[in-house]
Amino acid sequence: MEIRKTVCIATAFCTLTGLGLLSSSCEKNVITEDDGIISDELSTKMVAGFNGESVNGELLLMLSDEAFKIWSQGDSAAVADMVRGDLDLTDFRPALPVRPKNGKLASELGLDRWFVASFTPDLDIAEAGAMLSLSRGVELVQPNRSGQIQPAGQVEHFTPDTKCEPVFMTDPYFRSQWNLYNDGSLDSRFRAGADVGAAYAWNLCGGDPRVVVAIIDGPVKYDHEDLADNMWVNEKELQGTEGVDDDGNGYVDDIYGYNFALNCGSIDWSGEGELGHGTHVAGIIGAVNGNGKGISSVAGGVEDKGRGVRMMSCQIFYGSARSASDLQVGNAFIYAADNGASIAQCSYGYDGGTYKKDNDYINKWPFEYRGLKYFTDPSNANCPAVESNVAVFAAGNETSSYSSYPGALPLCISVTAFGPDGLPAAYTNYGLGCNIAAPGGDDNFGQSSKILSTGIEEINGDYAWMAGTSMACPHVSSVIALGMSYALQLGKHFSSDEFLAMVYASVNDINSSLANGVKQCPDGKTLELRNYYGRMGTGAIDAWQMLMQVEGIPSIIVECGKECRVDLKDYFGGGFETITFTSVETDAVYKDALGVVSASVDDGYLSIRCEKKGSGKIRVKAIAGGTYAGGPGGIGGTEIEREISILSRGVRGWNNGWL
Amino acid sequence: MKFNLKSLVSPAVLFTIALFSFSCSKDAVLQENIVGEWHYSDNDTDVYIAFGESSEYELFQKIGAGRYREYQGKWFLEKGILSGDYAEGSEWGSSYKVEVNSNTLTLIALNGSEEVTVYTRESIPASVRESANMIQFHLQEPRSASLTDF
Repeated sequence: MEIRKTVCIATAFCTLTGLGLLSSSCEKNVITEDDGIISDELSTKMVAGFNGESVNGELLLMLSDEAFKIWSQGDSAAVADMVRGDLDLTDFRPALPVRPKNGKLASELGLDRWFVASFTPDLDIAEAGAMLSLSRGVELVQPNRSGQIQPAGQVEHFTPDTKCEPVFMTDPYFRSQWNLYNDGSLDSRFRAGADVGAAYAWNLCGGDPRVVVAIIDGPVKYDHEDLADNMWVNEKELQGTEGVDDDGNGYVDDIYGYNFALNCGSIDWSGEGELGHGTHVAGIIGAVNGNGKGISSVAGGVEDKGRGVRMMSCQIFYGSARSASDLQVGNAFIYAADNGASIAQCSYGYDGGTYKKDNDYINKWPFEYRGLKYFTDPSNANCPAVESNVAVFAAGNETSSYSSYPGALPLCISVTAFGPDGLPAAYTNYGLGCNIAAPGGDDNFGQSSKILSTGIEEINGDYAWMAGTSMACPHVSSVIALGMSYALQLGKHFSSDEFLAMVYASVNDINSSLANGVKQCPDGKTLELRNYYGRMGTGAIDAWQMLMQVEGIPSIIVECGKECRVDLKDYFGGGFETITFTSVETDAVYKDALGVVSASVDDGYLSIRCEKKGSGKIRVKAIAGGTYAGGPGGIGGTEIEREISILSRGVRGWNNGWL
Repeated sequence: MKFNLKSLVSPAVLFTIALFSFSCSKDAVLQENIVGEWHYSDNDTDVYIAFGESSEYELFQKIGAGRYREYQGKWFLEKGILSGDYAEGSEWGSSYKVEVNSNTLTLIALNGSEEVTVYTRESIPASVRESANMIQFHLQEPRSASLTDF
């Protein structure tokens, strides 16, 4: 029996040695059965790619059923003993610093079974992992990895141009924000309409403070003159006692969010090398509109059309550190869900192409993945207008033909970037796993073709230019926030699938510019545009269209007794090259009511023949952003479904006209 | 008896002219009666039409969900048949036989469906126009060309 164990340990070490990471011998770790070691599950317990890379030398481990049962009974010492074996643990604690509000879901996801283990510095982390993997108290073990933030590109100080006259907003720099309203007048090379459509949307809605966007990123400078009034504020902590968890949410002094990077309540932008990335992202979403200061934002409020959405800072990066651990990020999602956020704005990810199927990512980042599942589960929805929270990620800046993860997961939205010319930015990832495009800016026409937003005075000025999918991502987050705000104001409610399909349909065509030609970049790079054709997501996000989707799409009129061919643009957006229609279904009751004898979809058109007059509905299913749906085995598009209302009558005019 | 063609033709021409005049006169009366604002509503369908004196019309329709959509164009009346086009150039989906009473406008489709729609005389609410004015109406444009080598 003991030989078997030794062999298995040796096998474990060989596995690690095979990865070129471990050179320790087996002898000092002779383990007996009494130490609680079993070995049969070794290969499945060690997460693939265990390379010793770990934050603070920490390991994340998931307790076995047996150990978790003992833990649940309150005998933490027994569990620690079972897990450690001969190892010298310096710390052993739950990965969740606070019990999530939704304890049932957290348990279902296994979040409460994850623990953090630390060791004496002389012990090789991979060796420790191998040892832990042999404990019967451990189900899975992996390093507490850290992930890379999306580089934002060059940061430039914004020099105010007082000659610029604001057009729609009284904010002085509004006119420089082509991303909000681009009529082509800023530069002859800019393309009118290559923007987020905010100036039109503001006629209807400017946001709603009941909608909270968690900015999972570097710190948001919460006292910035153009952000302060739209920050999420935990009033009990603000009015409470320093050092005390006044609101009882398990986090001390979390007034504007929480600093997961330093594990404290203070959002901190004093770290050396801080870029102001999170603050820049915040300004795009919710800089205060119409205050006569600085910039305007997509969901920063409009007089008589709603106050701005609220922004919560979930700081996972500090100073020059461009990485955050699995643990920190996972807990940030749980915090955001438990404290009222409806949208997780995530301008970070792991380089495009690093993972090409969901399971590869999930196995490497189990805690973050579970945190995301927790955030997006319908039982944790924070906006009454939509059945679940939404997570939005940057697609990545490596010019890869794959989206980065986690954005590539079907439960997330992955955002690509275009410049003021409406063409893909040179850096943007595209292709598999990418869902939708937004203004991200680029270097092509000088500083002004980047995105202007809020900065940190002592670092890059109160207002700064940046470019990247990091900047594109908050455009989509804020359009979603605007859509949720408008739905709240209209008293509407949408299912998760319905709302997601509406987001993907709220786009302008981007492919018509990509059929051929090239884009010359200042660094000499030439983009072959056809490489991007049909690969930037469903289209360019448009705030106005999002609000139209919320109001509702009119019924399609079909002429009874005739085969009708109807454009589905209103239901699926303008980017049909990236939509793969998979089926058309009609419930029996509607099929009979309308006398549907044929229905099919091709190239964005519905062909339908109804033999009876009346009203009914059909359902069209499609894959957005690819030809097949992504999933555990491969990266791909997202399944969406739209319910389409049909009015069958005797006359159908041009463009769904009544006469 | 010498057949006097002149004497025979003249009454016929006169009769034709009279008929034509009567017809024109009838159309003129009908046209005058059509001009105005009309409303049709049924379940979740709501339609307002404003027929103008100078052959222009405005159509506001709300079919199912969403807000009112506005269409504009020209309308024509000939021999009691109402036809028209959309500003974009397309003809209506049908021409219509028209009947107007004091407060109702009945359109009977002549495209084979013989669908009958009865409108009542009613002013278009400002809220309807306002709703439609908010729409950034996207015309259907030809789809982009498919990917080609160059």
